[in-house]
Amino acid sequence: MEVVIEIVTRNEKVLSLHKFNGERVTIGRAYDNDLVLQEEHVCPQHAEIYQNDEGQLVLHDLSSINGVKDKHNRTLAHEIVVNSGDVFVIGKFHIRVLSTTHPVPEAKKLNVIEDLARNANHWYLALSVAMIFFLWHLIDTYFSAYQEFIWPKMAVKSLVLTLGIAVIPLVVALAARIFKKDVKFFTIVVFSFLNIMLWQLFSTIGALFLFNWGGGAFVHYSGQIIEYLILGLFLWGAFYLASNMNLKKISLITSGLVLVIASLVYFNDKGNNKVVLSPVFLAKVLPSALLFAEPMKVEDYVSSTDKLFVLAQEEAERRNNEAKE
Amino acid sequence: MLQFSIASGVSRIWLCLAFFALSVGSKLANAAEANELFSSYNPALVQIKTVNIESGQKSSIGTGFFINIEGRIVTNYHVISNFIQSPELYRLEFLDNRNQTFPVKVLNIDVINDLAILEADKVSETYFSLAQQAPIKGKDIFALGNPHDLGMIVVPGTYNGIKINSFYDRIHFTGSINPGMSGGPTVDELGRVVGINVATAGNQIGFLVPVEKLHNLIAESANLITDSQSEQWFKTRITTQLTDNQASLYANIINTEWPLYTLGQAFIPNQVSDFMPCWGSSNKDKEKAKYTVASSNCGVDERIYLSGNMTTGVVQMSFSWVHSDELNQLQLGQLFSASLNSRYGHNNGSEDEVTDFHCDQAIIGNTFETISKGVTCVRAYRKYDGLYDVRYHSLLLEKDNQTLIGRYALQGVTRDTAQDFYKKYMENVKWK
Repeated sequence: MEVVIEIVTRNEKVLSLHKFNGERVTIGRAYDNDLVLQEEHVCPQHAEIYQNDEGQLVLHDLSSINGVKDKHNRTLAHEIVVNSGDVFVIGKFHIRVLSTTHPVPEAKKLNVIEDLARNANHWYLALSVAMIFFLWHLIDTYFSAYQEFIWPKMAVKSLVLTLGIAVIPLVVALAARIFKKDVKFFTIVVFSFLNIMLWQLFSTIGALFLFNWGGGAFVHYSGQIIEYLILGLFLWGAFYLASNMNLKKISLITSGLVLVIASLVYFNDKGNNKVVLSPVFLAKVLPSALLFAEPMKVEDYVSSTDKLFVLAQEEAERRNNEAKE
Repeated sequence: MLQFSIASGVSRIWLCLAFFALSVGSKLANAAEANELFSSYNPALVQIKTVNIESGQKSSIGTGFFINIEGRIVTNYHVISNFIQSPELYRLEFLDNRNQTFPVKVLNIDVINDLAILEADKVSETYFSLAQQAPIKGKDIFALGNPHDLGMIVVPGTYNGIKINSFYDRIHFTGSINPGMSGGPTVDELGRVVGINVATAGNQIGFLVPVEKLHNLIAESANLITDSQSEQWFKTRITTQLTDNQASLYANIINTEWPLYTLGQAFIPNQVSDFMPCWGSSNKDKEKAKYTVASSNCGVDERIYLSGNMTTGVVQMSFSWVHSDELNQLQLGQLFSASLNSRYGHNNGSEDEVTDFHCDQAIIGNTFETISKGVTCVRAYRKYDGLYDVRYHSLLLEKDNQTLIGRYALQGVTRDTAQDFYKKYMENVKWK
């Protein structure tokens, strides 16, 4: 008789695997057993597994104090026929009993993400992206400055920001520790900085659109959608690197989270019904070489402002009705 | 002193007479005289009180005066504005010279000229008659009032004609008008009302509403009776007055040729009207600035009082030419963006009376092929239908080391006025 016993966690994750060959396999706390389970609720001679005349595996409880239970914590009969793959509880141990012919699933192809995650896990890559971010931020600050610009002061600012962002990977790595996922710290660093640079890249492109076609609903909404997509990407990556959930589950949780955040932001903006007394708008100006939009004629622009008066009038009516109630 | 002591009795009398003739400016003598002269009018002068019903305390006081025997009283609109805005919270009463209180009702108002006509169920034997024409410039006139519960006071001063460079007719009065005198009459030496006290600019400068505005309001009120005026009636009345007033104010501004003026390398309109004066400034004095800014600010800053929280009627227009040879193009872009987005315009509104601003932006080309980026923001008045506050921020494009930021803020205008103003503006702002 050949039999395999896996010691598994409550969630059936394999902790150790033992293969036995012989008439019977004895299980207990005493050292003369085939499988020694060192736990105070296990009897010295607790149970044994043998093959009956029909060739089935049988688990036999040797009148132990705590008996043998199934995974739902129900005490089982003294002799029970085992189907390959069944899980039993002996003392506090979960064991799975398998025949050597138990089918195994097809091998999975190594997923690209895992491959990437492993390849990125180098200290020099992490350092490089952090440096690139630091330089990018410094240059960006320079090109945004129209007041006096002091290099050392600005460099310190960029450095502090870079170090600040490095806290994010620390948090993700800590989460990975908690969820017992192997920690790829440098990958997390690379991923975090790339995400932020992606966001910066899109805001640069966004500025170009804002300059040319700002005010249009298209620019406004696509800007918001892209921001939420980047947030989604970051959360997805963080969950992947910090937990053992499968890709499908991660995607579901991430989309859920992004939707929750987006609606919170939306209702927060909407819920505050107070009148804002100064105009709120964001107009962007870039060098005229980057002007691609076709200018509107004055008359066309004038008639396009009609809608602002209509919107304001509608709001006035809405607020007056609310005040009456 | 020496002269006095050696003068004989006869010459002393002569001296006194000579001094009297010369003492036109001696206000002390005049005040005493005037007090005597006008003490007979005392019963015609009352104190108007707006009383908060909840607390029973007065929320504002001002002066009023009878203009006929049937109990018709004139005062300022701003003295009774709380009652007009929220009649459910306030009641109006007046206190006569014998400290007796009587209720009073509002017959008609004129927010543009800050006037109100009230009616009381009390016969007043003494009342003021209204002058039919303006006095001569330089003539002595006397502002009467009932400030701070002190009883009637007389402030003598001089009629200096109608204030110049002002869209609204106001008498320039040299004499100090105190806040509680608001709504009181200013009379000539015969006791005829020539104006109604309305404001002070401090230091012996006061402003009066000319009596002809009161004549107009009286004529308009001929067919009115006090019981027919609801809260809504007053709102509609104010809306009509504001709408008509903005139409004539902006017709004045829009239907004239705007004188062009060079600011940096751009043409801008300058002092488009006498009542819209301009002021200039620049940042040349800042040593470390990497760019120069030269600005021109023009505006009509005469406000129409609507309530304690809200005034309207301000027109503001400003231009800044921003230029730098030191900054690179991207830095200039940042500077231009910051200037374009910076706040502009008086608020003058409150949360219960206006809406949020609704904004929109675009790239616009005018007929002179000057391309600009423009942002329009509009908010509506909640109580006065069809009136809006409109702001416009714009920036001329196509010259990389410089730009012209142009902004304006129009208060209490209709959509048509705002759009006409915009077209006029776009014709007059361009690169050289």
